[in-house]
Parts: sequence; C-alpha cells; structure tokens
Amino acid sequence: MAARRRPDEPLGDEALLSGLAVNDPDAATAFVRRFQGKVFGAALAMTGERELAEEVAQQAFERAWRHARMYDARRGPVQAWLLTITRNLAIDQVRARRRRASEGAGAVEQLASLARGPEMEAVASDSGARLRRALAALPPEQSRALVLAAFRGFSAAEVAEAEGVPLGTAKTRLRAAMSKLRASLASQGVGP
Amino acid sequence: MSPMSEPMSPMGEMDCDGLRDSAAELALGVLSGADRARALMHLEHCLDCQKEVDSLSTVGDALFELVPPVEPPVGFESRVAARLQAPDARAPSRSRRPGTGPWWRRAWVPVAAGVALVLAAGGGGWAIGSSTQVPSASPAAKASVSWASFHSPARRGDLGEVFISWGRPVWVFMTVDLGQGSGVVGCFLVEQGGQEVQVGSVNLVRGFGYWGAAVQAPLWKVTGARIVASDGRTLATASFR
Ligand SMILES: [Zn+2]
Repeated sequence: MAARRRPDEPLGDEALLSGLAVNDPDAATAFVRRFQGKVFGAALAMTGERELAEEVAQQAFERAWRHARMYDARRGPVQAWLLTITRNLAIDQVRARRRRASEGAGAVEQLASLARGPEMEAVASDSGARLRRALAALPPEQSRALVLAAFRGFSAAEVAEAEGVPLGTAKTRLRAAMSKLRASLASQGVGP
Repeated sequence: MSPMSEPMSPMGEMDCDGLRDSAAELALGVLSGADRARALMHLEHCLDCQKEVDSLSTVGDALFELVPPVEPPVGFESRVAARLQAPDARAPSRSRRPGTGPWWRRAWVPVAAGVALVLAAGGGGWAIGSSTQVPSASPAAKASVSWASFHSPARRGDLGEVFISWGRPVWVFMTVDLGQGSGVVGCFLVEQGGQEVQVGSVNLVRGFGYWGAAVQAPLWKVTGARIVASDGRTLATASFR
C-alpha cells in the first residue's frame, strides 16, 4: 500500500490509512481532516442530531483506526469503507432509540433533498447525477422503504410495520428501489 | 418488535430465493440477528448470491456518497485525536489477519458461527477469515443457528452478539463492545437450570473484543450467555428465547 509520490503531491487515501494503521500522528490528523465532513454528514443524515452524530463520527474514526489493517482496497475506496463503518455504527444508535411515528414523513423529505442534490450540481459526478434522477423517479412507497432502511436502519419487517403493509410487500419495495438505482448506475458502465 | 430482542429460533441456512429477498437489507446493513446469520451462511458458498449482494452494496455506497459533507462541531478533530491516543485504545501487539472478505462480513461483526472462522496459530483464539479457509464446519452441515444480543443494566443499547451454530462440532462466536474497560474476560454459556459452561475468554481492548471457537464440552439446553470480568462481575448477558 506504500505510495510513491512527488513531494508536492498529497498522500493518497490508502497511504493515509496505512499511516493511521502504524500510529503515525500526522497521517492520523490528515486522515481525520480529509474525511470528517463526509463521515459527520453521513452520521448526521442518519441520526438527525448533531451530538449523536459527533459520537458516531468519533466512533467511526476510532474503529477505522483499530481496523485500518483490515481495509482491503479490492473491496472499494477508503471513503466507501469508512462510510460503511459510519453507517453500521449509526444503525446501532438509531435502533437503540426510535421509533417515532414521524419517521416516515421526515424520511421522504430527506430523500427529496438528496435527489435535488447540492446547489452546485457541477460538483456531482455523472453517476451521482444519474443516481439522483433515479431517486427522484422512484414511486413514493419505494422511496420511503429505501430511506427508512438506508438512513433509519429499518429492517424490512420494521418498514412493513411502519407502513402497515405485509412483510413481503416491504421486501419487494426495497428490492425494487435498490434494483432501479443499480440499473441507473450501470447504465453507463459504472458499477458492477 | 424490537430488533434487540428478536426471538431466537433454530434455523438453517437461507436458500437462494430467501437470499434474493433479503439481499437489499443485507447490503444496507439492516438485516438483523438470525436472518443475517442464515444469509451469511448461504453466501459462504453461493457465488451468484455473493455477486448480488456485492452489487447492491455498491448501490448503498453510492447512496451515501450523495450525502453532502457537513463540517463537524468545533474541536472534533482534537477529540478524535484524544480518543486515538488513549493509553489502552489499542493493544500494541494485537495481531489480526488482514481482512479479505467483503464488507458485509463487517470487521467486528459476528459472522455466522462456524462459517467464517479460522483457527489462529497457537490454538485457542480465533479470527475472522475468508471463505476459502473454512474449517471443518462446512456449509454442507447446514447447522441451525441461535442468536442473541448482549445487554447490561449499566449501559444502554446492544453490547454485542452471540451466535451458536449447532453443527458438529458446535460453534460459538461472540462479539462484545462495552465501550470501555480492558483486560481478559470470560465467555460463558448458561444452561437451563443456571449451570454455566465457560467456553472461552477474550482480551477486551477499550471494551471491544471478539472470540469464537468450536466447543467440545457437551451443552444442554443453552438459555443464555454471559461475559464475566476477571473479578467475577457480570459485564453483559444475553438470553436466547
Ligand atoms: Zn444463492
């Protein structure tokens, strides 16, 4: 994983992670600086509370540090790995607290804002833009199922309960939503 | 239904249809307890389903890439640094095998007991390994799985999980994340009637540790599990229902 680089070139993500693994304080600081916005953003999106989001984000960096050696570049970029850690920690947190009846409504707003994307659409990648369009095109019941699962940590059984539909229906909605998003990513040869 | 107290029932591995139905949940990390164990058992040997879950995982990742970055509160960076520098934060000589599995076999999360465990050199301790190194508990055994989560009156939420795979041999796998406290703790299974069998021990580092092994001792009607500190204090309990 050692990176060869010119002196003026910033270290790559994997090189920083290697530094983190061997307790290099500079690498650790740079690693946190590079990813803290994404990690905190994801934690906030899932917990909806800044205080809890910070706790989740801190835990995520701690866990990344503990498991830096287990990172496998073949499985995907460092940021995706780190966000997966963050999501898993956030799921544990939100599961330990909920459930409020208002979850469904908030979830839809959240999805709508994701689908709209940032003001500066130019920063979004092509695949990001396609994914946003696919999100916006989902039938409402599918997007609710998706957001409840992805951002609220609901299992299909919990989605079914929240939506008042049979388990099979919830599973089908979730699967349909994910399949459509996957198709949108695959449409230009991106993704598997 | 609370996700933390899912009823335990002995169940075998999922089939391809069941896996396809649950692949989205698995990819999003929301498939819980016994279902996840049953799904992972299946994934150990079904390439098609692995591909399905992997590609849906990519979708989940992409979804989170859309979430805009948010500047964390002031002082975040130094609080993280302090956390990483805590004296017992990470044992210096802790050796782990580099992970080679896909992310859904999350580093610290239990995989189905006996499915993806590898005997560490020296015996006694076990580490998470890749599917190519599955020991004697082969998927063909289709063992049923019991699952329960650890709790403690002292701390809110889930404190880890215990899996038992009722094959031959019986496999037990535990993860604990107490948040704090380091040192060796004992892993016990509690039988109906209260008798306890120590099945192993694990070195917790800042409250975190995982352990798994094949259990040779005869087990009779296991109702729960207990993590016990060296001074005899109960740190967490789990009950199979
Ligand atoms: Zn299959």
